[in-house]
Amino acid sequence: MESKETARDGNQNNRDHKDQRRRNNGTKQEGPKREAILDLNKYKDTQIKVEFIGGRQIVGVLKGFDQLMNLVLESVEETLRDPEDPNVLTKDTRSLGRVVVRGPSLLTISPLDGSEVIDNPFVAAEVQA
Amino acid sequence: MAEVATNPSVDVTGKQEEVTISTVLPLEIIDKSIGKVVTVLLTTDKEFTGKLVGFDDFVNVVLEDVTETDSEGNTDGPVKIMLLNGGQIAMISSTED
Repeated sequence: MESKETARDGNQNNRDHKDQRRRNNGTKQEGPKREAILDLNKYKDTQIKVEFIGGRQIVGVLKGFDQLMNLVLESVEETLRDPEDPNVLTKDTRSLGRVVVRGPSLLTISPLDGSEVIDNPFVAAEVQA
Repeated sequence: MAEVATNPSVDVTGKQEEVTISTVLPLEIIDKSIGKVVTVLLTTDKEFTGKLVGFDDFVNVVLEDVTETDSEGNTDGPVKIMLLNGGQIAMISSTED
């Protein structure tokens, strides 16, 4: 009687294991929750500079974002480039208003506050050399 | 301008939830722009302005009555309707609110 009972328990255990295995196969093995490399919450409602693959450059106030680094920016100003040489930025800007930025074409994001443009430190070095 | 959805029922422990709820989701903004005139700026210096008909997860977009503009301001079109591949899209700007 007792042995029968344990046998049934054993079966039950076996089935549980199988269930478990099936479930594991069904769902992807997930490690610890993946966190974004950069916490953009820190920059919410502050001005950030965004550069794109291809060379466009904008400045805007960060309003929102998602896991894929798509961004929502407001009061966006795009820095226009020299039509003759697209690598050269001009001082001209144009307003784009509210903009959704696509994550996949993003190159860099940086805060405007605490960043400053410095003179090219290598120019002097070249002259010396 | 942008409405931030605040949900008082969110508990403090749901940190992830807090993040997704308190920020404006980009795809939501695009969704709200359907039926309105938008400017799609590519990673190249081309731009497409037209009425947004729809988009998918890759943000491939369908535009109606589209004019294409290059960096020198030359325009092309209008094209009645077009599917624009999302791979080259850098920004989508809603011209009207």
